[in-house]
Amino acid sequence: MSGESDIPPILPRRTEVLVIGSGAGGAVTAATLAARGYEVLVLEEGPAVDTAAMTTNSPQAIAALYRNAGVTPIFGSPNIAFVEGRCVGGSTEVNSAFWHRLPADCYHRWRADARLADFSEAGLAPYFEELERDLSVSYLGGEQVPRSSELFRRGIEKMKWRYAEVPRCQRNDASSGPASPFAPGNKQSMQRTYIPKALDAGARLVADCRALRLLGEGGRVTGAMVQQGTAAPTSIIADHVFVCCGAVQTAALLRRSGITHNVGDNLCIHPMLKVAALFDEAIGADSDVLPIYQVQEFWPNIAIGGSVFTPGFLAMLLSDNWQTGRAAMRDWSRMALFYTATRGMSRGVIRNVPGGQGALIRYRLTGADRANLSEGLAHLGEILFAAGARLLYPSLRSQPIIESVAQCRGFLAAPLPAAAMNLSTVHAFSSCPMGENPDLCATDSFGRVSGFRNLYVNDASLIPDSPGVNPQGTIMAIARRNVDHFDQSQRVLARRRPSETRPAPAVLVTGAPGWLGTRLLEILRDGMDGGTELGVLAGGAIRCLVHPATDAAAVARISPRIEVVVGDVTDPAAARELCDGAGGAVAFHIAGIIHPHRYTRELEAVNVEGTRHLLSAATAAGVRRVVAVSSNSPFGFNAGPEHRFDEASPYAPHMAYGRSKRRMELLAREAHAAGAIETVIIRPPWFYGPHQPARQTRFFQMIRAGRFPILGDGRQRRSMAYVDNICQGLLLAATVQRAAGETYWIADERPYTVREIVETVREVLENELGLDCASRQLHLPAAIGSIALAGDGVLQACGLYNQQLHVLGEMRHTIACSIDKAVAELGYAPRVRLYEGMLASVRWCLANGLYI
Amino acid sequence: MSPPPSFTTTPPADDRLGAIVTTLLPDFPALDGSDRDTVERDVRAYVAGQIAAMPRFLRLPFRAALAAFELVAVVRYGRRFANLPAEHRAAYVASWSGAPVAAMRDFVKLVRSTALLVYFDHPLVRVRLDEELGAGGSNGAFAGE
Repeated sequence: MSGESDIPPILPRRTEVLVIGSGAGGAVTAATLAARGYEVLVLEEGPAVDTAAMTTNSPQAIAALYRNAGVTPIFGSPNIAFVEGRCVGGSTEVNSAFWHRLPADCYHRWRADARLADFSEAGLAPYFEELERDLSVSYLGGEQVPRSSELFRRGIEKMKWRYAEVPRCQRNDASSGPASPFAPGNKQSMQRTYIPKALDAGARLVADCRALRLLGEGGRVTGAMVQQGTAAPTSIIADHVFVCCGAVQTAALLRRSGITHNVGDNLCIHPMLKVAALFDEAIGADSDVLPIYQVQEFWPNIAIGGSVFTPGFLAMLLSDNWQTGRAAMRDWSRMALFYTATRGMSRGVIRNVPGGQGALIRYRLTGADRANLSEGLAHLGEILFAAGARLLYPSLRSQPIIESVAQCRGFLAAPLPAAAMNLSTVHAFSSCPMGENPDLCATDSFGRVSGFRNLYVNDASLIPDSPGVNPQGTIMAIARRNVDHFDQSQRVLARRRPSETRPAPAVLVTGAPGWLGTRLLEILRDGMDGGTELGVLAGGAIRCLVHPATDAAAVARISPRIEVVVGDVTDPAAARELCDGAGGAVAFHIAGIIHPHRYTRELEAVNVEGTRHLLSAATAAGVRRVVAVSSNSPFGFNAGPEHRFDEASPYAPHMAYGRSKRRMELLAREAHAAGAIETVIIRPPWFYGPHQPARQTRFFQMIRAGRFPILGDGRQRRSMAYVDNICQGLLLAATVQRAAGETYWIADERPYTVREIVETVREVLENELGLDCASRQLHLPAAIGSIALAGDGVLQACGLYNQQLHVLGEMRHTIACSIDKAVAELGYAPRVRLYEGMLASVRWCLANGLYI
Repeated sequence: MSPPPSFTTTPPADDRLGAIVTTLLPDFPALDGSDRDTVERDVRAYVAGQIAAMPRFLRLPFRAALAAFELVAVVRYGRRFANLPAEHRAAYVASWSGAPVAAMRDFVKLVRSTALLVYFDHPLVRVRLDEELGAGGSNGAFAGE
């Protein structure tokens, strides 16, 4: 055995799925994917030490199984000791094996704050059930309650507080009775469960192998640079990469690889204070099973329970005040350890230390954290004294002994200073939150890293904030859920990929799965209410160009008629692949950028060059007609509230976006004039409707909160376009013969004043959906809009872009159009009006778990 | 899978840290001579191993603190810490433990907490603790540091 372990395994250089990390998230990911036929390689930074043959809370185990030989410092005020595993199986090999399902309040809060899609208690329940079977999650049962737990329960019951026994992931031998999860082999850790499952299903595992950084570019990772032991770094090529290194190391790896958006800025922990209690009787805590009760009275912000005990752990706690603590050691047999922890309201930061030395973690306790820890300590003291404790030894500097309940209750009135606390934590999460909130989340609702099509996080990093309980169950259930979604997406894509025998498409679409593109695809699938004929577009194959950083499988799932080409419209090759064999088809060119992330040059690349590539490819392929979606921005602002833009209005482009759309229109006209292809230009103003992006939901939130600013008297007018009305216009532009070469404004029947828009939204929220709105709406002088406009101009002149400033700069102006030409020549008849459209929009938000 | 590790049996090359560890170890429970030597050796090796396992950006400040500890001892007593009488070693460590400078307190705290953890969970110490408990508990004088 020892000889075999001296020979490092051969490191595969290529795999289909690379899983980095073998803890709770990585093991579930590897086992599930391997069982479904994926080729899986698991890399683990730590050693492959057999935890079945050791007591995992012994000093030897601490040295072998824990990162940094036991303690990773979290710097702050105070510093906090973070204890995490670093071995095959990760922290599941060294933790207490407690099992909690995700508390109910987390589902609503995460849907609201992180905008988590498709996330519910009912949806996650089957995964919890499966995991609980696989991990033998069970209660201690029987009559053999540990003495320390019995005393603890006595104290809780005297206080008349709610508590519960917490189940654990361990097998209890009925013949020998319950045993500690730290005793060899009892705990159902990943080494006992999902790692063997993964290996039995054909996955490979290489330990002592650290991922240095991820490799790839352009929205796609190609693998990882790794180092096995002290060997020279080498690369592993992979089709898909799952990063499952834990909250700290996952964020560190992503940041080392240049992936920083919302990565490592949101670390949450459960800070913990420990207390040793001295009783009059022998407790035998060192030979007991782990304490089993947790106080639920003060959940979710404060947790109180028993802690693992050894004489060494007791001495370590007493060493904070060794002058007094050393005398207490002689009474070790009459002592037990307890803890109080808080959910942790602060947000920590993870950065890499230069030179590859590791991760630097910072976390600053908030006042609320201090107050909760102080309150928790007070209540823990009340319980222990009620249980018969004589003295308490808290992990506080300069406060070695607590002798009375009154002393404990003093912490309620005067929270402890941060510097007095000697804190630790064993739970860290939220460093790469999942969800659809672009201001918070590093991944989408299923762990796919933003901006990448084949890179995923699947560990504690994803949890949007502190669950307040042991997170292992939540980590594993979410990991299972996410793997299911990945697998389903891969199967859908495999059925939808272009093949040599693919049918000639009747319709091409750029800009799916965007707002308008998604709705257009749904209408092409279902038809349009109200009689707009799809004509030649009905029933034919649809081919969509989908950006690599978006969810191609979601587009493919809309209809079996849809074929997906993954590519960027700025890539001429992608445009050619989209148009290949599409002679006679109609192309809807919807792809574009309205609000660049940071630089205005993005507008030129996508709106102008992307259009150029599409027109070139479409012309070469013999596409019959391109319907190009433009905007009101090439025309700036109306001369006054009663003025309307029409198709004869001269260009007066507003800022960089307006200029890019003007150039787009000119390219479309040039292509039509050249005679080889027909083009139609559609100019929709401000969209609204289902599938809206986050900024539109924020619009509703701001109105509800009374914070949406109405500039001036609010009588300036805005044309708006409900997405179904726009889609009607697009379909007419595609099918009406005389539309070729023409331009049409497409909008709702009439423009609305800004006041009317805001009042309509409020009415929908209050009267239809019973949502309370603020009694007053924010009104600002019109000059604020002028200042914002000037500021926007300065920024954009420097090539920079700020969305809020840009939108505010437009808001005092009228932007309104006439749809007379579309009505007369296309038979355009917008069917959805403002109230109905806003109602549908808000209902869509609520149905998709978005908080307004 | 590899078998579980055991205590390192090779004493560390740098015994500056070892002298501090020995000073911090308590006399409780009573151990006979060879057991005491074994325990002290194992604890010294463990603590040195823990320090060596720290990332460099943490290990270097610790080494600097260790060097300062040695230097101040020489300045104060005229000899290396390891060569001081037991009572002087205990007093010097206590002065760092209660110093107004947080870095000095944290230096001693790190070494002490690790040393005490390993000491009281050492198999030989655990056996002795259980024996004393079975014999009615220890009533002996208890001295630390």
